[in-house]
Formats: sequence, structure tokens, C-alpha cells
Amino acid sequence: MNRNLALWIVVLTGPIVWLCSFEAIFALAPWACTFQSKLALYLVSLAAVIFCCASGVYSWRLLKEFGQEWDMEGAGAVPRGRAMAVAGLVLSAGFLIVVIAQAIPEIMLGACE
Amino acid sequence: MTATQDIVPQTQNQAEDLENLNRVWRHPRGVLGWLSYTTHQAIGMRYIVTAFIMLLAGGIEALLIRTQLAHSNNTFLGPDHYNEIFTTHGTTMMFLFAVPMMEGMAIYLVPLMLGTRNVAFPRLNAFGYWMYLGGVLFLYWGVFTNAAPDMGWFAYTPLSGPQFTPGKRTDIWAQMITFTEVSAMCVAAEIIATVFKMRAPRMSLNRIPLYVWSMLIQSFMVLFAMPAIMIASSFLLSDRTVATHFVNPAEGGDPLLYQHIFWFFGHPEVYIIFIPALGFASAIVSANCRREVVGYTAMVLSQIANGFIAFGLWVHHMFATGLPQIGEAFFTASSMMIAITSGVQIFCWLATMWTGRIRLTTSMHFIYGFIAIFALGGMTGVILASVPLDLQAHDTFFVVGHFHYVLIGGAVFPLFGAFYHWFPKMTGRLMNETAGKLNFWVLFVGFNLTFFPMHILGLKGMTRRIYTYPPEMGWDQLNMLATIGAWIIAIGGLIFLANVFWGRRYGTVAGNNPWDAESLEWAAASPPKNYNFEYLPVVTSRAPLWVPPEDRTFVTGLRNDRREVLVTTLMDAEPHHRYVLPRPSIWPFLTGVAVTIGFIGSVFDAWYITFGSILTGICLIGWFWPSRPVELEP
Repeated sequence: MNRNLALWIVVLTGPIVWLCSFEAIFALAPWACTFQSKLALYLVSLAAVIFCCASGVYSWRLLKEFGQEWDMEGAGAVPRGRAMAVAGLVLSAGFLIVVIAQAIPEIMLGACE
Repeated sequence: MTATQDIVPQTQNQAEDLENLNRVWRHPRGVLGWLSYTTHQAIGMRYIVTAFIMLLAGGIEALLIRTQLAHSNNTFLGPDHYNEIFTTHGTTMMFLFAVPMMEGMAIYLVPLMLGTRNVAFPRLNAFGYWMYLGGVLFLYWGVFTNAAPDMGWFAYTPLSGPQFTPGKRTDIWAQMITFTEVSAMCVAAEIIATVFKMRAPRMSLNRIPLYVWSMLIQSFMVLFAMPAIMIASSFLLSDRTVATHFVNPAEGGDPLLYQHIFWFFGHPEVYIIFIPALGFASAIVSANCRREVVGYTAMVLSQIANGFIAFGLWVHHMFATGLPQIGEAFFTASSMMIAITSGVQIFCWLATMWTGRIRLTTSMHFIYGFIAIFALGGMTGVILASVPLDLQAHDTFFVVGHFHYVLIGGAVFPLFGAFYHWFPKMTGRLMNETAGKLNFWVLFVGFNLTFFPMHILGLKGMTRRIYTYPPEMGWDQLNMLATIGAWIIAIGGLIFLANVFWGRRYGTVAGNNPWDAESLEWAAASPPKNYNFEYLPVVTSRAPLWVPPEDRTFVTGLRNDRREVLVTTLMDAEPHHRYVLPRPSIWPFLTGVAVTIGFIGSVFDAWYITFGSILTGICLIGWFWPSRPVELEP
């Protein structure tokens, strides 16, 4: 895969996966009540967790390829790529936390609450 | 085209180059010429001045509201006038002041910070301003002809529907939205294209100034949020004018659909206003602490996260509408999560101050005020993110206090800091620092006197949008305090205005870089020439002006006998090709007039859409008539 495309993917995967999962579980909430089952909500959140983790792992691999030096300010593709890989790692981890925070009500609350 | 290693680029005839640049970038003369300007400084300044006039208008409306509420059973305003004034106040501040002001500042500053000569689409830039002005004039035409909107700045149905708000008041509001959102999207498209493709060579993504990052993120948010409000207002308008059934419950429409669409725009709107202010804060803190902001990557990432999470908060405005509790809980989670990303930025600024050499300028005062007030507003925001607490405080003055702490503390205080910071760049002269500090303290005291009591009033049960209250409620003293505070804010505003006029005329001549700041706008003349830079800079660091002069490099080889700019690559800003920007043109103005005729006329008769479209089509032919070389060889 094109390296720059890969970097954009890891930067944007965490936020976009969260946004999609968030919209999906909100849209599915009335259905969960109708069918008295939260399975669909769990599945969406699980899928989001998997995508965020995958994005984080891929970011880590890219970061290792660029070298784990601290310089992220220099000119050229390597420091810029390193900065984007770090961004992917941090955003994936951060949005994983948001996905998990939103999964807590799924566990704590009943389908019709 | 080359990047030379010379401090001052060597050219055969520097005087001739300058004369060429001045001639090519000169503004056309006369009234028609004035209507044809396309330079980013001129358009940006028009936005700033118009938006500031809107701030004054909204401020006067706020004073009228506070004067009415000063004591119980007041008859200063009747209920109908009160409704009109609080609606116009909210509408003005949100749509005609806050967003356009942030856009105006960006139009002015972003090309300078990126080291280029104009925005990517100069004619679109001019058109966007005329659309914004059309919205301003349309709303205030309604205000001065007894057709001011009176159903709240959100225009919830069914209150705003034809049954409960007959006449043209709501239609004017709805179509004003269309004007301002078209304008906002024009600016967003320009900013995104300019940031992605017109950065100075070697300003790779990891070197973009934090303010530019904030505007890039804000622009993407505009592109996704603004269509929602345009749809909402179009649903409302078509329900009212051509009897469609989208959101009018009397005809089987769904009023909750309107609320969902409105707030899908409305909550990101808060961040659309707030995120540019984060950029102001970063630029001001960096320049006045004389070091780069600590945690550049953390700042950028938290702004990106803010930009996304802002789209996951809208239902917390709708907790009282009876949605499923499990669905509301998802929004509680995201509403609390955004406090983390906002907190990261505050800690980055505090760390920068802790490790820097602080210069206590007026702009830094405003940043301190911003951090204090915004932190308090953020805390009440976390309270309101909780469903049970929100239900207790819903529609009370607690909410009014909260969002003024967030919006004024989070956006207006940094904005005033930005005025003081960039005034010398825009005018060539400094404002008076002593008057500036007085300005800050008066605003800070007035602000807290006005809005802190509102939290207590809300907890004591005072609801929003009531034009008066009986004395036995026990709200008089706190309301009087808030009113006194509002008048103190007005005094602060007058001090600011006096300082602007004084500084413009008598202020100390600033020079190019009075704050010894690091970003590229300070390399341009004060005020900047129409072409910004005689030679476009090459960036060698995140703080290009703190690089020793002997290490700075410049672009040579651009032709200066036409409006030529350098297009660079998206990721690493490597020079790619030269591009010729269009000349000044009257067509953006004429297109704006044509669209305005269509928009305003359609409120009265749907056939104006057809008529306006034909006129607009004719103007667009004139606009895009090929008359210039588009691209040259790399």
C-alpha cells in the first residue's frame, strides 16, 4: 500500500470508526428495545474496538519502520511520517477509550431504559 | 524555480521587481473597483469589520434584554419586543458575529502564516463575503421593518411553524441562515485548499502553525455541519412557504427531526467558533512566552479529536425530549470525553507558560482570562452532560450562564487577545497597552458579574426566555447584579473601541514583528502589501522566524508581472507548479446580488428561485469566462 495513504488511514481510522459506531448504536437503540436484545449494540461496539486496535497496531508498525526517534519536526518524509504514525497511534488509543466509555451504558442499562 | 541560500535574494533589478508586484497586485480604483477587490487582506478586513458591527448590534440587544430583566415586573420592553430582541441577539451572535469573525481572521491570517500571496480561490472569497453581507442586511432589514424573528435563535417547530408564527419573521430567519452558511462553506473550501496546496516550501504537515491547524479542522467541521442547518432551515422554509410536510406536526411532519438536524449543526457550531480561538491562544502564548508551545503533536491531535467528538454531542441538547435513555447515555459519555481533549490543550499552554519567559501583554491577559473562564464553563458543561442534572437545569438560566462562559470565555476572550496581538500587523501601529489591560479587567469583572449570578438564578428556578418575573420569586438582586455586569461589559467594549481608534491614529509604529513572534505573518510588512511577501519564504522549522537570519531561504523564479503563486504538495509542501490567480473582478459581487435576489425573493414567491437561478447562471458565465493562463510548466 502507498505509504502516505497508509498514514492517512491510521490517522483517520480511530475517529471515523468511533463516529460510525456511535451513530450506529444510537440508531439501533430503539430497535434494541423493540426486540429486547442488545446484541446488535454489543456487536457494533466490538467491531469498533477491533478496528481501533487494528489501527493502533498498524500505526505502531509504521512508527517502527520510520524509526522511533523523537524528531518529528524535521523536513522530509521520514519525520513527517513519524509524526503521522504517532498521531495514528494516539488517536486510535484515544478513540478506543471513547468507544469503551460508550459501551459502558450498553452493559449497565436495560434495552428499554 | 529554486530555493536559494541567500538571506536577501539576489535579483537583477529589485526595484523593478517591486514595481511590478505593486502594479500587478494593485487594487482597482473607484466604486466599481472597490466592489471588485479579491485580495485576502481586503476581504478578511471586510469580514472583521462587518462582524464587529454585528457584535455591537448583538451587544446592544443584550443590554436591552438585561435592562428589562433588571428587576421584577419591569415594563421597559413588552413580551413581543422581548421575544424579538432575544431572538435577534442569539441569531446575530451565533450566525453573524462569531463564525464570520473567525472566518475573517482566518482569511486575513492564514495566507500570511503559510507564506503565500492570497487564498486559493480569491473570487470565491469575495463572493462569500457578499453572501454574508446579504444575510446581515436581510436580517436587519426585518428588524427595522417590524419583521424581526421572534421564535428563538433555534426556531423549533411547531412554535416556528405557520400556525404559531404567521408572517415573514421566521422566513427571514430561515433564509438568513442560507446566506451565512453559503458564505461559511465558501470560506471553508478556500481555507482547506489554501492550507493543503499553497503552503510555503517545506512547511510539511508536521510544521504547520497551530492556528492554521485549528482553521483547517474548523473548515472541515463547517463542511460537514453547515449543510445540516441549511437542510433544517430549508425544511422549515418550505413547510411555511410551499406547504411541504417535513417538520410541521400539523401536517404530519416530525418536529424532533428538526431538532436532530438543527443540533447536528448546533453543537459542532460551538466548536466551529471555539477551535479557531484555540489557535489564537497557541499563537499568543507562543509569542509571549518566547518559546514554541509545549506538545505540538498533542495540541494538533486534541484539536482533531475535538473536531470529531463535537459531532457526537448533539443529543445532549435534547435530553428533555424523551429519547431512549440508553441512547442518551452514549451522548453523556462523549460529552464528558470532550473535556479530556480540551483539558490536554489547557495543560499544554500552562506547561508553555511554566517553561517560558512570560511577557504580560494585553493579549496574554486575555489568554489568562480565557483559561479561567473556559475552565469554569467546561465544568458546568460536564454537569449538563449528565442526564439527571441536565433535566433539573434544563431551560433555566443555569444553561444561559454555562454557554456564555463557554462561548465568551472560550472564544471572545481569545478573540480580543487576537485583536491586540495582530492589530499591529493589520494597521502598522500598536494599541495602547495600559488601556488594553484596563479593557481586559473591565471586561473580566463585567463578564463574571453578569454571567456567574445566572447559574444561581437557574438553580433557583428562573427559566430562560421569560420577559419578566414577579417579585416574590426572590430573583431581583441577582438579576440586578447581572444587569450591572452587562453595563460594565459595555464600558469595556467602549474602552476597546477607543483604543482601536487611538491606536490607528496615534499608536506607536509597530514594525514588522513587534512581539518577536515566530510565524511567517510577522515577516511581512505591517500592514502587509497586497502581495504579502516580495519573495516567498522557505520554511526550515516550526518557528521559521526564530531561525537565524543567515539560515533562512526564499523562493525565487516566480514571475512578478502577473498574480503568480506557488503550488506545493499536500504532505511535504515540496514545490510542484506555478499557478496564476485570477485578476480582480466585479462578477463575484454581481453573482452575490443575483443569488441574493433569488434567496430573498423566494421568501415571498417561489418563482424567484427560477429567476435568481437564471441571473446567477449569467453571472457565473462572466465569472468563469477564460481570460488567463491557468497553469504553467513546473
